[in-house]
Amino acid sequence: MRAQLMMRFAIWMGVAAVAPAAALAQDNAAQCTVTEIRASNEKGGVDPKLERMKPKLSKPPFASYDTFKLLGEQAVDAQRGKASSVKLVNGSLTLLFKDKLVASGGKTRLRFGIDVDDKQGARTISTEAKFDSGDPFFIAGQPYDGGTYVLVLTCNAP
Amino acid sequence: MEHKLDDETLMRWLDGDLPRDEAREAERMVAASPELRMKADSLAQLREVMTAHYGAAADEADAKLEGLWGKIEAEVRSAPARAPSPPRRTWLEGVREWLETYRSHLITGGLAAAAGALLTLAVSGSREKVVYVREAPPVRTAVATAAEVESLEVMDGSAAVLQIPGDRDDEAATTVIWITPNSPDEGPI
Repeated sequence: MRAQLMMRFAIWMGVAAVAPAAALAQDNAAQCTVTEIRASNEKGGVDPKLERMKPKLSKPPFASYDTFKLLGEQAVDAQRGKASSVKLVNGSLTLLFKDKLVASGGKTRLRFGIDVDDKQGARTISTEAKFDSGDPFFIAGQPYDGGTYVLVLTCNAP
Repeated sequence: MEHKLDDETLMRWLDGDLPRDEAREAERMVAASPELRMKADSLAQLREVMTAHYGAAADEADAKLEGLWGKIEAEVRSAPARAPSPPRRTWLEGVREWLETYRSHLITGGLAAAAGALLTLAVSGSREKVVYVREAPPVRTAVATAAEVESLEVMDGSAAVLQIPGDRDDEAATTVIWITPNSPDEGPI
């Protein structure tokens, strides 16, 4: 009986010790989705997998294209202060979750460092941006496979 | 001879209530006993006196009752004929009549109720009543804010930061970094 009580106490103590750490870890993490799209004018319409982005893709500067094809989509767990690299169809992306802010409206706002390298590993673009959790952030314009390359970064954090 | 005729039996014999056999026996005993005969005579006399007295009282009562009945009949005859039933009223007329009849009662009751209410208000008003109203928490409206590009460096090209307006009022504009490379060669953006 006493042994059971001791074991139960130990479990509760363990939970009490781990829970704050887990909460802290969650507070320092963001779940990002990297979406690669090829835009062109081939009268192909919008890839059904990109249906959720259709409203954005139908407006300038994307309104000049009629075809959007999904090249790939990857999920990235970004940890604050730690760089996360993602392989792209024509290079690589490095994300650095720098900060999490709470906007006056109560929406979580994230600050990210975004670096894009070519296939040879040469840096082509480096930017630092703040955006709301869940809002897509676009980087586009580079020619790709007869069309235009579009990179969409969407990050969520509690 | 032994005289065993008690007073009750003697009185019943005098009244003629005894059965024939017992009456004959009682008669024989009374005849044989001077004492019983004397008692029987006394009882008979008393009976006659009582009968006479009650008869006179009854006659007198009869006369009085007769007079009373005559008086009652005379009063009944002299009473006026039954009043005709009033015309049938509607319920509204009844209510109005009731109000008119009890108007003073109603006014008195109303004044008493008003006085009571005023007294209650005066008593309860003497104590300061504090009503706590919970202030509604401020509504936190999520303010949609477009992404901000804090720094941007493009190697071998130029860039422009564009905004795609949101579809709804509460939807932030979407930020697009549009790269224009110096060379048309394909590359990662």
